[in-house]
Amino acid sequence: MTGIGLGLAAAAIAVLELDATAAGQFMASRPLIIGPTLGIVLGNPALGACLGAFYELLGLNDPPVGGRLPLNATVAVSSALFLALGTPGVPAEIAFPAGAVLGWGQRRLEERFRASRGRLGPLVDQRLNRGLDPGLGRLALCEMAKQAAATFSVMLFALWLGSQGGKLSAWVPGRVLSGLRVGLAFLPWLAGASLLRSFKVAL
Amino acid sequence: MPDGVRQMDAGVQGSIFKRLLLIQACWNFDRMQSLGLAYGLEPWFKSSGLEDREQKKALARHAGEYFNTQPYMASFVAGMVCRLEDERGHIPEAERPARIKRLSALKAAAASALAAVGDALFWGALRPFSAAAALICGFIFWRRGAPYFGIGMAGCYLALYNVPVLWVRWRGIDMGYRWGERLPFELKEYPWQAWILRLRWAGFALAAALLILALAAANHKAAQAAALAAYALVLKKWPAAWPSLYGATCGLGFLAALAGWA
Repeated sequence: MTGIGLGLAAAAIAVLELDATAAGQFMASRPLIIGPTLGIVLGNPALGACLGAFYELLGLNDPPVGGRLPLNATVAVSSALFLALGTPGVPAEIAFPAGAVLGWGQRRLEERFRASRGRLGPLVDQRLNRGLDPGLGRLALCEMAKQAAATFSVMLFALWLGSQGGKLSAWVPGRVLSGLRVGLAFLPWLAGASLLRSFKVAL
Repeated sequence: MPDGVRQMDAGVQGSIFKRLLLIQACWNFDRMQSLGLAYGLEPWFKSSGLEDREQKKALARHAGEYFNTQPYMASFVAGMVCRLEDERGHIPEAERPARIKRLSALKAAAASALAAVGDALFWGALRPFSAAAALICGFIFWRRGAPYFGIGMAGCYLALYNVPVLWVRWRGIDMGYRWGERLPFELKEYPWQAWILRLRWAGFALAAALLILALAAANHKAAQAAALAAYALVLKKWPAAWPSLYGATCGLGFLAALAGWA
């Protein structure tokens, strides 16, 4: 895929990621949606579907309740796929944990955005007290644009890491790679156990 | 409707519905969803016939109060607030401050109750159920050799999840408006816990079926089944412990490689 194509894919992910908390929450940003779709775009539908399923199921026991931010699964699965399916790319056993790390990093960014929005309340109060239009729609669009820009930067970073795939893989010692391979081999069962636990049924 | 209180117009309901999709766009730690709720209520105040100054005072009240609930269930609260604001406008001036206090208290109580129901229903039951059903769908397509089985999986997930969610988000505005103060009592009439339990059991059955099919297709069935059981036991006690379990598995693989077994 060309650089422009990859850039467009990264931009699409950045916009779709807003669906996770900021806009809509139609689940269009979930790994089970993004994974297969991005996998097809990048040329490996099966890997996309598998990584999408893993991140989806592992995240089911960490819902966004009461303002809590879970690991950003959209960024995790997209980063993992950009890493694994980049040129030359990294093996899937490195891509999975690397994607999770980037997903946690994105979560920290979102927490900072949330903290910075504390200034919006007093700003709106001031405008309304002066009889001005509070501009709530414009404020929402600005905040979403900032978040999308941050996500786009993370996606570009993941694309760059994927392009350095050969160097990255060379840094990982062989035995560590073996360990990661075992981790990936057992991941379906860990994800399956997470799915079972998410239903909280008493047997 | 009581005298003077308006009907919920479909056009205004549509505007509120669209705006409530962005209820979390300005989420912050101080007031949480309050700015998003105020944004959602704006069309109602604009169509209320109130003076511009009164509209802004009402908006300021809602933007300035702490508010947080499950995002889909916010529709009920928005509908209720529209109704109570309308009723407030038709009572004597002297009684309005007390009515405003009551509205705030009702809003907070409804948000809290709806959050508990919404979290359990949508995050705790519908989302995992949709994921399990989508995976079964994907598994069937994959076994039949469909190259883009992931798209079937994604479509199944989106449809199963969004049909009830969109219904709740749309109808919730109207229902909240019709019920007004009676919202908590009317909500109690619905068998939320029964629905949640049925969804959980249905999802659990689908998940169990999927895992049995996967085990049947796997090599080294005993080892895989043992791993699944071990993970399930740990996650039962520590539900969010998957990173540690993943790390431990990688660690065991590393030790096996050191010992020359892998």
